[in-house]
Amino acid sequence: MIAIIILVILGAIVVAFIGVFNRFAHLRNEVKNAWAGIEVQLRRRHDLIPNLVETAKGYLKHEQTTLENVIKARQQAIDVSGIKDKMQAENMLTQSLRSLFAVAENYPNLKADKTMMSLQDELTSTENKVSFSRNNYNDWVTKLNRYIDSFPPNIVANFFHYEKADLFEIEDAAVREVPKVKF
Amino acid sequence: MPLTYTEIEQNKNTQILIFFLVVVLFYFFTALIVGSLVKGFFHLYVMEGRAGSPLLGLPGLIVSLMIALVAAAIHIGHSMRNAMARVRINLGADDIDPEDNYHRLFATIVDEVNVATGGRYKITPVIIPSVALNAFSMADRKGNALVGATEGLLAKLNRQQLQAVVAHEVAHVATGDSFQTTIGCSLFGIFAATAHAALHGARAGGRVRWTRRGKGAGAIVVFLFLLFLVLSVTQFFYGLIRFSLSRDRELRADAVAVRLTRDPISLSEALYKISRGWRGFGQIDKNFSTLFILNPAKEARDEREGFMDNLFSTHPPIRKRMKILAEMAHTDVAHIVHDVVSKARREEMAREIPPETEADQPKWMLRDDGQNWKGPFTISQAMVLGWLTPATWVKRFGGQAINETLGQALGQARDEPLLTPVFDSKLGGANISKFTCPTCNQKLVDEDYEGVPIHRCVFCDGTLVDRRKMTRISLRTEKGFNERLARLADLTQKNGEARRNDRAKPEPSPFNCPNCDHEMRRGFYTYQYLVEVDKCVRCTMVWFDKDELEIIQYLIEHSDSTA
Repeated sequence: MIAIIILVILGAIVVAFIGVFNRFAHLRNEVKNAWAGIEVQLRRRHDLIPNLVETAKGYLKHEQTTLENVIKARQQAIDVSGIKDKMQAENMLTQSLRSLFAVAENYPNLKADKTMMSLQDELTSTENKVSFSRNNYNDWVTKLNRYIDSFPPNIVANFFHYEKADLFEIEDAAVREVPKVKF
Repeated sequence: MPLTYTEIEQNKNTQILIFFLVVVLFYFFTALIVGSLVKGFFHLYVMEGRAGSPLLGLPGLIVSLMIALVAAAIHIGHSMRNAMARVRINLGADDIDPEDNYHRLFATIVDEVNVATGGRYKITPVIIPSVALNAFSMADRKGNALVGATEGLLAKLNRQQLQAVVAHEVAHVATGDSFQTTIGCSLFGIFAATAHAALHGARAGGRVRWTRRGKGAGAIVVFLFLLFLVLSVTQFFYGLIRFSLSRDRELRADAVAVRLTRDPISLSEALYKISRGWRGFGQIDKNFSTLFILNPAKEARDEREGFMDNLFSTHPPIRKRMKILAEMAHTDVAHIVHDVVSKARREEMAREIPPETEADQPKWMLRDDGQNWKGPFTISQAMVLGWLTPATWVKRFGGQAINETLGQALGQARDEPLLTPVFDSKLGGANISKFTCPTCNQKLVDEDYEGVPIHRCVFCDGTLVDRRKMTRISLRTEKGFNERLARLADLTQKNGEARRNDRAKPEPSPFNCPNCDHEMRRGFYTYQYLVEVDKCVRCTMVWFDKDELEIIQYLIEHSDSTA
């Protein structure tokens, strides 16, 4: 009798284990897939930047440092690997692009340039796609991390050394800053 | 976006089972009626009432059920295979025009939002060429989907709001609602819509024939009766299908849309804007209303929340939807409404108003190949002169020096900094159009007018526009109107009214169509907007003399009480 009960319990544990294991496999793959989605958009952004710099060069003769910063930030973003470093490099690139566009505001000819306009449109669209794919990625990461923290999946996670994934966060001073109210 | 795949699949399957049962029911009743009629006929005329009962027995019922099952399986299978394409034809949705800025933006937004779902679907953007404000989505089993908006929506919403609406529609696709509603619509909706349109057409057109020929009247009455029968039966069964589609799926799609874009306020604003306008009632058949973000018909039932309302209505109350979204952003509906109204006022103020006169524009005298001085030309006129090169001799009309640093009165075009854009545009080469102005015999220039590509003559300011693109121009409100134009428009309309009767028939224009070289006719734009324009009798091109295009737009915008 006791043997049967133990067998049933063991059987239940095995079934539960398989369920948890498969759920992990699913979540981890979705996170990987979502990260690949971000990378596609980032690569698109990297491909657009040389054209943008080339177009802007003709007009921005006195703003060489701004252009060089963009190129440097792009190269760095391409070179680094690992989610955390990539995040930092991409945020740098966003900052440098933003300052390029701010500078471009002062050059009406550059702003009216057709190539520049279409590049800027495409870059805006790509930025949106980056942020949308980031949302998607963060949603999946949150789901995975919550699962790792919960019981009993945490036992399985420990056993297989499943680690929590990093969120892709915006490290942007302007967005992060808490508005100061003065009276 | 984490939505469990199995959840969606299960939902899809139960929904199709329900559809299947409804369709079986439909064919079962049809088979019963037909079977009874046949058996009754047989009983009365062949057996002459001698044996058996005129009603169907148990074997008859079983046979009817078998027939119904087979017929339903064929019907569902057929509907699932090409439902999307057929409903799309019924809605009259076109592909996007890649040359149009607004259409391109819409396609970009659809593309962007699709990224938020992880790019799981193949979504095609489509446009319903209507002034109504609405949006819809459809999907098939394989992950192909359509997201559609009306021209009115593209013109009236800003980027964020459009993005929110697209996210709502993509959410329907992602949760599988679109698939269900598409199949639901195609099962009976198409028949009901076709019968409805035919009945409407027969009622409108049939009356004349009726009185003229008494002989055909009987046939027409029988035909109409049959049509009416088809309509009521299909509508009844479509009603059953609509029961099974909960109105809550709109709330769910709103919530998922917010998860996609993280922007509840824009969706709330968009819902408010759509709810204030004409949503396509009368143009979009009521059998397709489940596909749309807001019910095209304004039904009182949609705004109530009783038991029966929840059962029958396809859309939840707008105020409830707005309230839920507003609470997500920690604000309230009154604030959002206020913001929409004040934003609209600010946009109205910011509309770009063309200058009153061209007098203060600089002009030049230019020396042509034959060494004769020509002019004066403005800068846009100089752009299309084929013989103007950087070496051409120029002087300012009015006597100023062409180059302030050099102080010369006479010089070559390359010395005049203000003429540089002329050569820039020639280098690009994209601006000169393939058409020639019918009155000036000069090349037209391709321009962008409120996002629509048009062709303008820089000498006489006439414009050549494709008639099919006029709806978009008349809907969009980027450009404002100066006082001169407003006065001119009122005067033109008044003059037109006085001459409405003697100028009812268009007369031949003095020139041919720049596009197809066919005859053009000069007549009123429509009988509502009494501006005389030249329309090609063969292709879709319309020639507007100076200001005529703007006048028509002014008249349409200012007679428009629905927007």
